[in-house]
Amino acid sequence: MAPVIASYSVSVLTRQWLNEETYELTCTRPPEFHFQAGQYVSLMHQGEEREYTILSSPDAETLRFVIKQVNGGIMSGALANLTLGTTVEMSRARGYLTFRPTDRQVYFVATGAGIAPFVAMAAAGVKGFAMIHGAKTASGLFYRKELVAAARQYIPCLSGTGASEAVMLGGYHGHVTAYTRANLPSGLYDFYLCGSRAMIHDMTHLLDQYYPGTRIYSEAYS
Amino acid sequence: MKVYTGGGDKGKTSLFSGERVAKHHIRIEAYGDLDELNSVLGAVAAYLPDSEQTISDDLEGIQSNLFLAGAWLATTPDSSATGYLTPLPATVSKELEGRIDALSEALPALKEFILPGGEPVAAWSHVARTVCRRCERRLTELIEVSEGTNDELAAIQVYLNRLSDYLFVLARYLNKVLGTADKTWKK
Repeated sequence: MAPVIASYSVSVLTRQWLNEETYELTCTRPPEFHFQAGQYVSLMHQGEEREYTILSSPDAETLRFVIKQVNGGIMSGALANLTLGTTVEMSRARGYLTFRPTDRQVYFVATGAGIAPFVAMAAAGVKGFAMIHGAKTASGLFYRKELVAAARQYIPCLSGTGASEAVMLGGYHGHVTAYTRANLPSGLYDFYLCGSRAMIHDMTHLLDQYYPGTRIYSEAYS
Repeated sequence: MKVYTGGGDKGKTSLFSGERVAKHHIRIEAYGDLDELNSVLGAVAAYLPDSEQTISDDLEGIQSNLFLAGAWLATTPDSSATGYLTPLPATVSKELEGRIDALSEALPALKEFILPGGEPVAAWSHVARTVCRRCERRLTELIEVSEGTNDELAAIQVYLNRLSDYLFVLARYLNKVLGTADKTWKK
């Protein structure tokens, strides 16, 4: 068996701000690095280490990450200011929030940077899912275009804006949990949750209570 | 990634295959016992004399194998999630047999029942053995009353059976090398 490579060196190629606090980082991809859509890596720089889910499809030539610049966040701040071309260390891919084929209706639910695994899955060819995408305002609905193209239904849920903005987007005014409860009939579904701990907590309890038998796969971000 | 979300605060948890089940579900009991076994093996390893490097390597390999086994126990056998799991290496049970034979060579033939105990490290090995037997019982119950089996669960069953024997021999071996005689059962 080939030895497991513990870490890789990648160079930062581009940085693109998606809104005032979130940016996308593109890095080189080592040829011997493999991953599944939905997995994450640790990026390591100057003694700091943080985990980020890969946005790219598993056959992409570069590795893309969506990163929220956290207030006082050492790593997210460092990566936001890193000179392009700088090398950072990257772990092997880890994580189990990967798509499992099913006969059931599939719902992806994301808030914030938690959209990353679903962008990767869509890029990898996963189709037919419904995407419930939560954000405070429309500027937080990252990768909307890619997700609309792959999803059978895309539902933006805006919780920090007026009802009219949500309606203009063809979305829902309120949290992802409220949308789900108000719109999803009883049944057995496969739910994939990624985002804030509060969202995962609330969605999990909602699904357990009102949609018993539903499968839940989840991963919490900060 | 966060360790806690509170999603299990009301007594349910997700299997690796996504199903939400009560925390006392037989599948959770089964891999919970395996987790307990792994922890007790950690205690055995912690008490191991520095001179027993081969056994230390054995235990590290076994602990890793139990992680693989735990993932299989946490997954409904006919689910698509099994495609993401790593099988136990095919030779693990045979390797344990080889280690049992090697340790047994240093031991006198067993003619009477022995009382579990002796040196702390040997006593922990006996505890590990009994937890391992419980894991075996849980697994057979899981296979019998729950959602069936597959080749991997059958392989894990063999592995646990062999591991119990290894831990029994290991306890005797450790008492021997540390100079403590096993106490026999006096009827």
